[in-house]
Amino acid sequence: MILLIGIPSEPPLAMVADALRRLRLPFQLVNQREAARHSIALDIGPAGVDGVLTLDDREVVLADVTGVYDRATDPSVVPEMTGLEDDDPGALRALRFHSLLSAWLQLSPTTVVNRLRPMGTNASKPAQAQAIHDFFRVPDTLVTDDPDAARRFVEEECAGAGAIYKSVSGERSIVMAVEDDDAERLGDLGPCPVQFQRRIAGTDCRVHVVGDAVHACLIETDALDYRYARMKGRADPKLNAVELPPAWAEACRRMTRALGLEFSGIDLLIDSDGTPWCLEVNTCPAFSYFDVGPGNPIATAVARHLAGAGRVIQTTGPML
Amino acid sequence: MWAILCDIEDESALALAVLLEKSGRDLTVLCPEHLVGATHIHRIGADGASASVRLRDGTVLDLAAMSLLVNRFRAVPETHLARCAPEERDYVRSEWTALLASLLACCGGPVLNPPCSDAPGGYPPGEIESLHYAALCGLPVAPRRITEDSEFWAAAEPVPLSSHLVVGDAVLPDLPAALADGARRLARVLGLPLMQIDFAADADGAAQFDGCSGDVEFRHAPGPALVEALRRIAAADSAATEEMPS
Repeated sequence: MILLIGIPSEPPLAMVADALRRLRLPFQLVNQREAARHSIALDIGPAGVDGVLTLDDREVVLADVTGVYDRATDPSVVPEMTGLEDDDPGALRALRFHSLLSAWLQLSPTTVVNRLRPMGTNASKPAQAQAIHDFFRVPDTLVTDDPDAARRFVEEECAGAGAIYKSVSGERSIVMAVEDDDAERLGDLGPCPVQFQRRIAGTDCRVHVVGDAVHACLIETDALDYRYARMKGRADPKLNAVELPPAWAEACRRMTRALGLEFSGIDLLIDSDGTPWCLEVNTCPAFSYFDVGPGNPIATAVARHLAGAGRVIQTTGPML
Repeated sequence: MWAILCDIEDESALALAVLLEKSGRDLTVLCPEHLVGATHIHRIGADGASASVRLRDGTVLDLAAMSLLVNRFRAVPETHLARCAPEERDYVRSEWTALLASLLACCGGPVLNPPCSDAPGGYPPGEIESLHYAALCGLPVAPRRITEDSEFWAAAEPVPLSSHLVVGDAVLPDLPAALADGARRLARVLGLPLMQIDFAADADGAAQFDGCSGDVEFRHAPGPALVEALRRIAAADSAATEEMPS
């Protein structure tokens, strides 16, 4: 049995559900909006944790679950929970249901896309960059609260290339260029550190790794951060599926495994020399924006992975 | 140089500091207030990662030169966050947490416990996770059922029996071999080279696993044995570094 957890209308979850239907693979949806009608019992014994999930009147023995796609959102922001008091019995029960289900997901020997502990690895971008460094080049990075160090990095070490800045954590993660009139603002550093990076000119390439399957697309854009192109008044990015050189694809697979992930969204940037740089690994990729190929290949790969598909090498477009 | 990163009111860590200083160890005690009040230069690039921290008194901490860091970081100090606008405090807290998680990974020697991206003080295992892996590691775990409508612990309040520290391969104070082996395995599975493990007595007085944490009470361990266990961890890491090919 495959479990999908989250809000059914959320695009990635809906696309994986559609892919499972197309592949005629049975699955059970754990709809967070119906948490009041769900229950879970975990039994702890000498063999560890086992238990039963009850969805309405249907029982799912947890040991029979073969794969889980966890897109659960913070249960306190689910529409059915808004407006309830913190001590509302229904709200407390729903939170506890989610907490126990989440605890089981971290322990279950089944395939879980993805577990919480490895998903936390991009809560610190520089910490993740240290891990990425074993597989790809990372742009020269400075995290500092020292205005003078920031100024030297921007004006001297990044001279000619330019510099960008972004958050250190996963919060407010928008990439911005350091402009000339930012010089005065560097003096405001101090209470809060900022991450600066040497700007790498090149083409964005988004790679999704699902188990052994690799799906890549080049992103044609004139925006610094293509995710916010429209917000910045730029044209919408154009996506073109490509096949990565085998060495890059293998590095993406190994890096995903090293981070403890089943599914990753890797932001590469290919410079004018054809060298790949890794900017970030998204540990809970909302892939729907990128899954534009016929038959939604990324959603299909996730579905196959949940069903226990073996090594699958996907060919999605022309070789780079 | 060894260092302890701990809150100023962390009596357990301060007791360890006294113990280490009495043993003649070159030791620095750092508070989170020192760290977030310092000037940080943390770099990542082609040569890997480096970190330099200049404290307000002008002292420069060379993290690469630290041969052991006892990491008791718990939270970004509220005194620092009070300098920021209220609506910015959660963001500033996240940014410092993210920086420290990466910074502490730049220590030259072992960090007990190693930082995680979202938990600079080390991985905090959940209670169900602890019970699950304790059982799989061969430790005696009382069977129980947990539901969204039931209390977590069994109805009968466990009677505390003993607490022990796993410090690398050492278990302090001693436990019977089977329990000590299970405790070491549990610490490895959870990624906590420094771990406290607690036992309670069942109805027959036998030991049952009662919980574990990376947030240890050092005073559970005999002082000389604790110092020696920490020395072994630092020495093993140093030896491993020396054996690495250039």
